[in-house]
Amino acid sequence: MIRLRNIEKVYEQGVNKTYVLRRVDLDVREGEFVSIMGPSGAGKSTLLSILGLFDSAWTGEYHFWDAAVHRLGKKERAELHKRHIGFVFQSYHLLDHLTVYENLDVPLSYKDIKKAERQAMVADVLDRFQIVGKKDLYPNQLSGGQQQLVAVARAVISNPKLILADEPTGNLHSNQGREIMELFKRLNDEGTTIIQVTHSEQNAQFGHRVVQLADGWVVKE
Amino acid sequence: MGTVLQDARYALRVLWKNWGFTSVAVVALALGIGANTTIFSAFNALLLRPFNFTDPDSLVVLWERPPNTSTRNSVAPANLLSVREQSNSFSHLAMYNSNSLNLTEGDKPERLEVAAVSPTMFDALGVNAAVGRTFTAEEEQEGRDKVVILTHDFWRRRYATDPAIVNRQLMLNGQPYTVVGVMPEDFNFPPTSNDILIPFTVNDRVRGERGNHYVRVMGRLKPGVTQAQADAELAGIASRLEAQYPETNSNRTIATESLKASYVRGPRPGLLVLLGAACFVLLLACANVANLLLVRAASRQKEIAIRMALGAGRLRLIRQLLTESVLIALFGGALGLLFAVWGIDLITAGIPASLSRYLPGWKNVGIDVEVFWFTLVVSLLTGVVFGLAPALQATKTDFNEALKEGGRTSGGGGFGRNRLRGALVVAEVAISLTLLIGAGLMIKSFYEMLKVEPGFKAGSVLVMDVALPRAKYKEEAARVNFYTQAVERVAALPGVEAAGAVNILPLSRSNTDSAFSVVGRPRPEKGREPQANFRTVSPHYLEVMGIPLRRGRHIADTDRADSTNVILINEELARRHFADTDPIGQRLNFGGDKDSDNYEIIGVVGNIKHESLVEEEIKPEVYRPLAQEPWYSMSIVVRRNAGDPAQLAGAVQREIGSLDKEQPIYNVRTMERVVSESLAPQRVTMGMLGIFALIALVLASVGIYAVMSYTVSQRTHEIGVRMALGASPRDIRRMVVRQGMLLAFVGIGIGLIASYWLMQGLTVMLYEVSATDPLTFGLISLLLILVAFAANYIPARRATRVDPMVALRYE
Repeated sequence: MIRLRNIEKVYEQGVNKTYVLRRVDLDVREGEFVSIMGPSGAGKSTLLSILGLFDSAWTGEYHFWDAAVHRLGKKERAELHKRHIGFVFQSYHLLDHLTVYENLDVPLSYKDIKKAERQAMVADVLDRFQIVGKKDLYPNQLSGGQQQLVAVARAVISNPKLILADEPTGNLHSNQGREIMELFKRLNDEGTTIIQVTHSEQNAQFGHRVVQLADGWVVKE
Repeated sequence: MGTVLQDARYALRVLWKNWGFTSVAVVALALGIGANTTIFSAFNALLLRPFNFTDPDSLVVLWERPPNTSTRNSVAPANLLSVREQSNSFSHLAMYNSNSLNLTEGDKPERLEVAAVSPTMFDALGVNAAVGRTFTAEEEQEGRDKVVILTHDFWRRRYATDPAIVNRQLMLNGQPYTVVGVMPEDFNFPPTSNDILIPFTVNDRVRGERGNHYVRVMGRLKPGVTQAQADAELAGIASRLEAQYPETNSNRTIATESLKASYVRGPRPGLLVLLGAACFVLLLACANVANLLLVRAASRQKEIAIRMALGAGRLRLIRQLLTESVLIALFGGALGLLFAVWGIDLITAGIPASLSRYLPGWKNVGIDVEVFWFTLVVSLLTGVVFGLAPALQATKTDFNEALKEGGRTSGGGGFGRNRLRGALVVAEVAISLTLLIGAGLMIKSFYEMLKVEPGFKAGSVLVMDVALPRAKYKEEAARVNFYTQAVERVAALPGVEAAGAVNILPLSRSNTDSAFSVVGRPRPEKGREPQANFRTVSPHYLEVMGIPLRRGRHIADTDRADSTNVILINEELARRHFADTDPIGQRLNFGGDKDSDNYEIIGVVGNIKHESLVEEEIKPEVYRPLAQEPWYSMSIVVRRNAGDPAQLAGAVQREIGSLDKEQPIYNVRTMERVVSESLAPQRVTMGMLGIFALIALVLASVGIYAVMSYTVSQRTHEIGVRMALGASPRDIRRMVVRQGMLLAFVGIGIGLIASYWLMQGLTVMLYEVSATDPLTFGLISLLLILVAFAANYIPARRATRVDPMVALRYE
């Protein structure tokens, strides 16, 4: 599903060059659950943003299924992202002034899906994640775990093939964290490919394999 | 006091550190304050203090008028003398009149603007001469009236303030006059830019003159007498005069009007509109700066929270913030004064001398002590007005929240502050729309005025004035001879197509009319006869001016003093009085029972706009041959073959001057300039409104831009999330623009409603344009929508450049 070859990312400051990623090769098959680990500054989040097609300032080859991402323009990348990728953040990043229902509706609204269809999809997700009772609440009326639950629900609502999760349990206590990881496991079992960045060995256990990064290099796979 | 100084010092430091913000705020306020100072300087000089006389409220002017009308006619001198004898309401009553005399002294004759005034005028006004004396009561009698007082300007210009001027002899119209005094520099009455004052002579002719209404009258009410009481007394006198002199005084009454009101009537509507507009510009500037302050207050939350944590009370903090805003306003005021200097230059340059000479107080339009105080007070008030709301909002900070390290503000400073910011943007859009619509209506109205066909062709015509002295040209034949020769000589000049002469030029702010009746029809009741404008013209005048002959024939050289009295009439007179008959050959009577008082109509000519291009009613008009009614003062009109007629000026002046070396020829100008100057007040009002509207447009767009930029910067996180969730740049642009445009549309809606009401006040100044002209309302709204869109689009584009990962990582 994903094939990275010789991916490099450099920050240039005057004459100094800081390498964030060095010659990264990585293959992820459809249905895999991969955990990216490594110390702070190893390049985990950068790799995730390249995988999520947010970052275009890199060199190397990136194939997402049939698409050669490195040859795509901005628009096509955005389209690819919109169609296939869901994102879960450490800080949930729900929109404060929107209700749970409206937060779930946001990604659908960017896909030109008709309103009736969107309503059905939101209702389905609310039901699946058992948060129907919270649909009219605002994020600040929810606990951290509930917020992340909504964030995951938002990430999967448009049935992405790939979910990228950046420290999804970083701000949660252990029970809540475990529930979220179990949720990811279930989603993965249902066929969604998942790549997560994590510091936690425990969370990495939920995945099939671990990719270790250090100073921008893939040191262990 | 110490803490106030400390606040000021600290405020100065803060403003200096944020010089970008400070300069934008200072310039915005300077534009608003400058606009107000500019208009106030004119308002103060022309409307509030046109005259500098003691107890100005008891000064009045007197008018004769038909009963129950608002028509104001000058007074017949004998009627005024009767009022003087019979009235107990006035301590003084004075007649005055404008005139011109030729000064022959040195090598070049000069034509002087003269006011003939009753000696009592000086006592009535409570003024004295600066040098020498004013007139004595005896000097209004014939034989003792050859005395003259110089105005200060003329004394300086012609005699370099020579202190030995008193008792000097001046040759005026060939007669010796003795200088008895010089008026003070600020003396400006009658307000017609006079060079000299001479006594208004009361002789036998004046004592018997009740049919001609040509003198203006001013007076001072006795202490305790009201205008209403004076009017009641005057009405009684008028009815006694009516009974005594039914021939001349039927259906006439006499009434007072405040002296000031009678002179400010002209510029008042325009200045009120401009003052209103300037206030709007200032309000807009206040809204703009208040918005900037709100934006800045959001970024100062932490500083305010720390101050609160250190024990500063809310009042103390408000004072600190207000000190900053007042300082900004004072800087704005200082810069505004500079802008006002330019603004005042614009106004004074826009009003030609031919018009400003009728505006008392005109010389005082400028920055003086009063204007300075006005600017200072406005600046201080402005500082409080625009500073208060942001200061109140800023000091509502929840310091626990603000001090939290990394505490993320939701949408840039809370709901209340957002709402206030939105409301200010709405207000800015509404105010600028109103100003733009006002300016738009004025521009459209001015355009309509320019399209007016005056009935004559001003292009290629040069005009100049000649005023023959009475003593030298007492004989009618001498005057006819002078003007006939002058016209013939000028017409013979190379490049001249034709030349003519007329006693009163169109659009010259002067007129003379006369009652008439149609011979052979029953005479109307005295005082109810129709009136016609009365012109004396040389042959070819109508051709030079391009006034078409509709029927009959032109005035010809054969229409001489000893031939039949003939006249041309205009189409309007023909329409009103000869709708069913051919006017040619009919006769009009202009008073008197002799056959020589009847005038035979020989032709009908086109109507022309005489008083102004925008006059609604064309008046009946008659033209008499120069040979049969030669005036002393005439305007010579010359049409050039091709090219700029102004180039003929020298040759024409030389040619006429060669007829009489002592005869000044003055006021040389093109007819196009006469037409253009007649629209000067409208042009200045339109120009100033246009400038204000432009400032408003810039301020409003800067306001919208600033708020939307700030909103975008505060929504970086939200935008990042949305992009991470699949929002395309177009989605983000649309979201940001939609939010800003919503505010703009609400502002436009409110502005349209406000304009609908406010523009009614413009009605008196509009020509051929409705105050609610849908086209202007629509186009201006569209313009503002486009500007608002542009002001929104730039921040919206910037929003799409948000890097979602950076935005999301920034916690």
